[in-house]
Amino acid sequence: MPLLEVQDLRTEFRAAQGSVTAVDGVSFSVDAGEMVALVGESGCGKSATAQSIMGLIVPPIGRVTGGKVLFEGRDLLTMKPRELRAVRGKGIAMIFQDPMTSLNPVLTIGKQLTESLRLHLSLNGRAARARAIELLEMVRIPAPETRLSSYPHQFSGGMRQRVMIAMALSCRPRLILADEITTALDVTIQAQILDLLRDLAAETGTAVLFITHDLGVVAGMAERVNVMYAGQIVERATTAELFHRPQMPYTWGLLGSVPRLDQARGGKLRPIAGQPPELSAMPTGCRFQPRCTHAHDLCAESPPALTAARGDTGHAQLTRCWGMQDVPRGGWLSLDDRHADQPKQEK
Amino acid sequence: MSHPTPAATVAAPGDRPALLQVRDLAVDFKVPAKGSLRPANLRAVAGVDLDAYRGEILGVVGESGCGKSTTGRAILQLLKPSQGTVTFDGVELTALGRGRMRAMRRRMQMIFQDPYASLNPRMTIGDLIEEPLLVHSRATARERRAKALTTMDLVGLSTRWHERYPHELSGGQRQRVGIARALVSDPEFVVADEPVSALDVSIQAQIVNLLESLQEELGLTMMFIAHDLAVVRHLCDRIAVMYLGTVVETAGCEDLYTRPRHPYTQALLSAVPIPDPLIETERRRRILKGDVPSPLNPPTGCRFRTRCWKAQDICETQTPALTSEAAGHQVACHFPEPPAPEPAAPPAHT
Repeated sequence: MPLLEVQDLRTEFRAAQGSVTAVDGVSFSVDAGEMVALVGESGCGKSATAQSIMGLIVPPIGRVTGGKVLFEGRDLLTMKPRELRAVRGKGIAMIFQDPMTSLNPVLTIGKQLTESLRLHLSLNGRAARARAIELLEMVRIPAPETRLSSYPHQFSGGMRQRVMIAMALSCRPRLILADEITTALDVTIQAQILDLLRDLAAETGTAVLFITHDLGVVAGMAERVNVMYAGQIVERATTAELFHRPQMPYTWGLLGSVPRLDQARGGKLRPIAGQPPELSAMPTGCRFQPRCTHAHDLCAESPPALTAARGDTGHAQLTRCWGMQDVPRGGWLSLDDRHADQPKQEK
Repeated sequence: MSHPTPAATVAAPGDRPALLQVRDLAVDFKVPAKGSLRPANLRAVAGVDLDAYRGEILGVVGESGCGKSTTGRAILQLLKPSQGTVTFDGVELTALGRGRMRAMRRRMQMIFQDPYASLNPRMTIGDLIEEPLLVHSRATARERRAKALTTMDLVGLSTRWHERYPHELSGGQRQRVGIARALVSDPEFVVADEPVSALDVSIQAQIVNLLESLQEELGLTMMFIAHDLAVVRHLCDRIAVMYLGTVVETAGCEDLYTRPRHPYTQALLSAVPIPDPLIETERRRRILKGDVPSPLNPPTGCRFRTRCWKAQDICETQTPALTSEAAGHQVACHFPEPPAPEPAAPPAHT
């Protein structure tokens, strides 16, 4: 049984005209001790997915309207608030993108660290303090005893993110949701934080759902990857497979858009034309089809499902693309097409 | 002032004239001081030397707070430098009066990072793009409109958007408006301050390609300020790496990326993730200790020494000057990596 199993999750938000579906039938799983990535551009629904899992979608602004979130076999969506509180912290912990807005500016770091220890683990003051020092040491913050009485503004961005990691790990959770945790940081600090999270997760056996827009970061962190586009998962694969034999034209586009330090310079980048659809005006059929250079008529007619590609047996790779699937009128794409893909330069 | 002596001007690549020369530039900000009513002095840029040659893209990279944006603004005299000179096409800008400077500004423009904050939400796209012409030319309304429409076409904005407002545009389209505003007065030199950082990767690539082709088409000289080293390598001809208000290394693009000589440049390059799991897991990273020190209280001597694995006593007492042993490759370090062997091997690829 996977540690976390999300089944057909749907989350809607209230908008000017009715409601929009930000997460539309998302299913994936995370095994114990595993690091799984959720990648996509802004607005693709990756953060809304994480917030739905944590029960942070608050009516009436947003509502989880369908699906199941099974954590150790129990559905978080049907739990009572009391039961949910018991899962948060000890079961699942979350780290957010911006450590400054997730820390309380008027409380010391020590106060905020010990709060969850006292609440969730019922430690007394002294034991909580000792554990807090231990945690700050674990995330490699120098002079932890004196740092406990500092306030968040006295810490740098990287240090604050370390505190957030310490806080997330404080109750020894089995799963951490890390939502764009290095996006606000500089590259050298990003390297420190990723290194730290990787080490600590391996050491403590904590599973991590790693949410990011940066494919480079994914390559070094995750074992499996889910690519999201316009509220749906469009490709799922092991990290090695995703980077070496990506099957979805959207993934091809993402990989072709970023210049790489390890490759020879020269040539134009291959951007994806256009922009992601508005949530309120989803295209019919495949949601990527209006931007796709390989689309056929079929793509605009009906939406493809997330299934294994034609003739692709023995892999756990799934893709949401008619061009890759063995259906009547489908299956016109092969892996070689991604190199032939040279969209016309946008004027 | 413990500033290193300005480095000797390096021979221009291909003997092009330097359109822009920056020497010993410093910018100070007054910030509230702890425990005192008198403000403290924060030196955001502390003695920067830069050259931009006609028709090239000069990349300026560094992490937040290194002074790269401040340098860009001080070059355009949007911030008043407290020291040093900025010479543009033989004219010393820091000495110019307001009127003369305004006339110069037609020739030097800026593209800003945030396409949301840099456009007036109450103006139409057409008016936004025409606005610089009101300041910089005596064109008639009809001429301005015609120029705005050609510029929209140039940056890949449909002229149908002319009467629309910024909120109706996506981030990528807004950035095209920002670029059009910078280019409508036909400048020779453009400072692009993190123009793609706020955009998603697929849109980012569109804008990078646009800047690349505009530069070729119009023969622009560009200063491209960014923190994304892969984008900078893709776009730029020469690169200056900044750390805590100083330039620590400048070199031709391939030279810098294949043979970084300053320890900070090495660490910066090794920190960039590469979208390939095999390479990522094999790679040995140089992870720097600690954080960038505060510019209010910078380290003595070499500013990088507090995070440097090579630091010795001399780094604390003597500020290394930006000097060059190999042509066109300058480095400010007491213990740099040796330069490329002189009879330079041809580049690894063509």
